[in-house]
Amino acid sequence: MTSQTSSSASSGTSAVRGTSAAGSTSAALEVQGLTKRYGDRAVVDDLSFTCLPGSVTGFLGPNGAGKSTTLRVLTGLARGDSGRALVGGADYRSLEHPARTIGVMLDAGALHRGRTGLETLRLAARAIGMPASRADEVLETVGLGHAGAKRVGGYSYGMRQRLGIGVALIGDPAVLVLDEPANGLDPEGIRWMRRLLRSFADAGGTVLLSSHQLREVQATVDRLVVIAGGRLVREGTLDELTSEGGTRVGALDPRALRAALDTHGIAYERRSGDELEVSLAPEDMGRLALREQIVLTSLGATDHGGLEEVFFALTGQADPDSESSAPAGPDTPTGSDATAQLASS
Amino acid sequence: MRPALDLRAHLDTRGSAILMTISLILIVGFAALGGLLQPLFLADSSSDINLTLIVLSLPLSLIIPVIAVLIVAGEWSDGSIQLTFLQRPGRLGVLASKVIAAVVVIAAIVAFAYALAALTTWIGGELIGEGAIFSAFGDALTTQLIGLAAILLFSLAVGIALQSTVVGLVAAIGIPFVVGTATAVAMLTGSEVLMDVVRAVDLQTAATVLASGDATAFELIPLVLLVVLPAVYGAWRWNNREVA
Repeated sequence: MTSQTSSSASSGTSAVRGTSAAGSTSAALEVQGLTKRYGDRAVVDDLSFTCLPGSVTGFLGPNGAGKSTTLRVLTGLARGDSGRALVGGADYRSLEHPARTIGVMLDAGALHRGRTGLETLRLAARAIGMPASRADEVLETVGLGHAGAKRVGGYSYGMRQRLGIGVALIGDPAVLVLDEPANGLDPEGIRWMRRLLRSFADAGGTVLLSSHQLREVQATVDRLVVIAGGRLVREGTLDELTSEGGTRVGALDPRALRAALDTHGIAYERRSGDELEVSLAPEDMGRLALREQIVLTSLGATDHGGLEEVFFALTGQADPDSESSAPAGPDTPTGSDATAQLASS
Repeated sequence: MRPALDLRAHLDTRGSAILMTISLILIVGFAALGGLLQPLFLADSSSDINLTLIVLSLPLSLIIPVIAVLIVAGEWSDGSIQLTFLQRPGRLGVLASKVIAAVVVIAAIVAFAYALAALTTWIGGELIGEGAIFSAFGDALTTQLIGLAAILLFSLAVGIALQSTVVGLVAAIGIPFVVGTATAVAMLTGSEVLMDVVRAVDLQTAATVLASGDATAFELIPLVLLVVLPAVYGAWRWNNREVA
């Protein structure tokens, strides 16, 4: 981000840059109770989350979780049935020059294949009132200086991703929303993107990044919003989500253990043998077993392997690498519900 | 509205360069065919601008729908409308801008074609034949231009309504052809009812009658059915359609 944007962006810019008159930090992106239905099916269901300036937020969820729909509503490409999706406190469509406030890259395939890379950026610059020289600058920034005269149809997928990110950056925005930006990028490209997003956030910008590449997300983001079935499963910092683990527990009478957990509405998953993984801290599990007079044969904190494990646990998906794990049933409370139970117990 | 931007966005692609080149070749070819070769075939060895314009209307009746549909619907088909709406979220403004851009491009092409027609007619008549005839130029302009305007309006309307290059082109070129065929069939059958039904969707005939000043309320029916209704529906759809 340059000082140019600070002076030229619309009235919503102070909000997206995150500092109000009172000096407190406000959300650059805010989704409040958003619901989007197609027929009877709620693709996004009462979803709420925020993205704060100075952070890179990972937006995770399995296929069909509602990520892309949420991003399309946020960027004015679709309308929600209820709730709000705001950029700096304003609806995307109400922004005078949205691309100078929020840079968006949802689908690199949307770039016209018959146009050169440089002309694509020049056209984008002209559309949002930026000088033509900005296109040359961005072309260098995204590492396509050598391919500016080449038509997009001749670009590799990774080059198109870079150009798409370039179009998002052309307005020198304070917020970036990127859908699967690492797709097609080579290792050098992924490192470049990681540095770009990190430096963008470190300069006070806000990044919302949707991706399936969990290891890449783990290396890039500092906050996470995890959704499944259109609903928020968990929101928090990367450290919070990856450090908090469940508890592995085994009992002489597994059926009694499961009945006790069901009675208290505590989420659990079957693990190897008769062990369960429950969404309680070990000490709370121990107290529960004592109160229910259940003899435990094993008890200990789960050794989570990182974001991938957290993702599978939170979204209720079976980890393909773990044959012994069983997905949570449809009536099983989600991780966030269990955490709430834990807090109240 | 940013018609200059949409004009540039249309003209700076490879597909557009190819289309414009083909259009230019067709116009030059048909203008030459009409203006230069007339003296060789007409009994008085003259070259009449009216005939040259009729010959030129053949390529123009194809070029106009192709360009109009591509400008208003092309971005929906190739997916680049997503970027356009991300940068310019005022959708109806984008639509109006594209319509203006299409009208400007086609007006320039028609002006070029008519100027070329006048030039080839003059060359054909004065330099090759026994004289050029421009006496009917005013009437020819009115008759031919109103027909081309009808083609443009219909093409824009179906492009806006269908928001698809392929389907839009099929409709913009195919429906007038079908109506023309139906008119001939209706005349052969002699059925008044059938002829009225066909007249109700015959925009070309209605436009010609409107231009002559002899129109009744009936001539407004094709305009409403083939231009106003599709355009209104298309504008609504344009404003509300979700972009994938």
